[in-house]
Amino acid sequence: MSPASRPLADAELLAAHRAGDPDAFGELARRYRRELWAIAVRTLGNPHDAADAVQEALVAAYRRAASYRGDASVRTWLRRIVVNACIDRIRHERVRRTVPWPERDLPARRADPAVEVATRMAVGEALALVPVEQRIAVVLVDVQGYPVAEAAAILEVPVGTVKSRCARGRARLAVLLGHLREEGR
Amino acid sequence: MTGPAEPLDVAALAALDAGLPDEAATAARRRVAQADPRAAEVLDALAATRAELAAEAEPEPPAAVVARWDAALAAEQAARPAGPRRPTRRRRRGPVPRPGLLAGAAAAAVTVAAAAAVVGTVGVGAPPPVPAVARVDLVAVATSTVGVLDLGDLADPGRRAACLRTVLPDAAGERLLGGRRVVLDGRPGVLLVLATGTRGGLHVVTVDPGCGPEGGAVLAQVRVG
Repeated sequence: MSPASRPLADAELLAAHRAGDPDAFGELARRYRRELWAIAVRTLGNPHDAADAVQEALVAAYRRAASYRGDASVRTWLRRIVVNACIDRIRHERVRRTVPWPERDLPARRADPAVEVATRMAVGEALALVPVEQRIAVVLVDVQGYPVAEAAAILEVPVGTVKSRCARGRARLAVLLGHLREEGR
Repeated sequence: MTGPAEPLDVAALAALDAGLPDEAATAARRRVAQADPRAAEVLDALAATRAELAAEAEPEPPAAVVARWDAALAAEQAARPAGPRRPTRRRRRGPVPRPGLLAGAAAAAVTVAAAAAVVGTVGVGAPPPVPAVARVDLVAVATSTVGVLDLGDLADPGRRAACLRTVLPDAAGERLLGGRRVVLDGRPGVLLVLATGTRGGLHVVTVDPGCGPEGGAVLAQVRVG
């Protein structure tokens, strides 16, 4: 599939896939599946929905490869597809409500909130309580570490919109994570 | 902009922290914030929030999930009508496909056959095979189980909670990170990976598959971290 001297670039792999190379898209998926999984699991808050969203996204990308115009990088395009799959699931209430991660499975008692907020799960729970648009912006910028401009490209919104969503999301998270008391101090 | 400064509320400080609305306004607001200890406290809280979010470890997709994605893509490939375009020139060059391509195609076919029940029924496919696990391997298995949810009857949160309340009360308040059916030293069980509430801490519990409100057996448990 690829010359031994160098791996194919993403766009080359996508082009090879469009040309019928049976291995090209699989290689592309392997490059980014971990990252796509991270976006999905952090956005949706549970692994079942994340697994479904990434699968939908990969299959959609596989089928829509011909529609890729190159106005964004293949990586951004894949990120966009998985983010849209997550948004679609949330807006159509296809996110499971009985899986163990969401709030209803939380313990009734928490001996020490300070310890609780220090855990990885606390971040996931807090994110789940943030409105979806803010949550996604925060996931992309603060958790995934993407530049604001990349997040804007993924979401197809202006940079200022991403910043605004991040600002509101962080203010909410600061309270939820115990760094700030409600209504400020 | 040089008159008496009004205190900034949290929303305004969060916008400032995010670089909004623009550089000129941000600079002016920063001056206000620097003179206000309460504002500085809010900015510190926002910085701590960003730091905590950034410190999140990148989750690894479970192997079973990756296999499912691969199977889905292999199914797409198999459904492709002899290639949507012509096969690549490279592939038509010789009478025998290149080893890499052959291996890829064969692997895809095997994957499709093995996971046919999964593809097309996203998220509700056939359960993965039940691994045989030795007690000494519990922690290693637990690590790879985070994010897996193959719990049998214990997929019901109510039943699972009742089970843990009954057989292991100190674990009843711990949150589930993942679980899978296993055969532990020859005995069927369900391995549950529970968050202890401390960073990196896991409580790995294996109970019998019938565990529920009426009780059950703890086959093994170990705390990590």
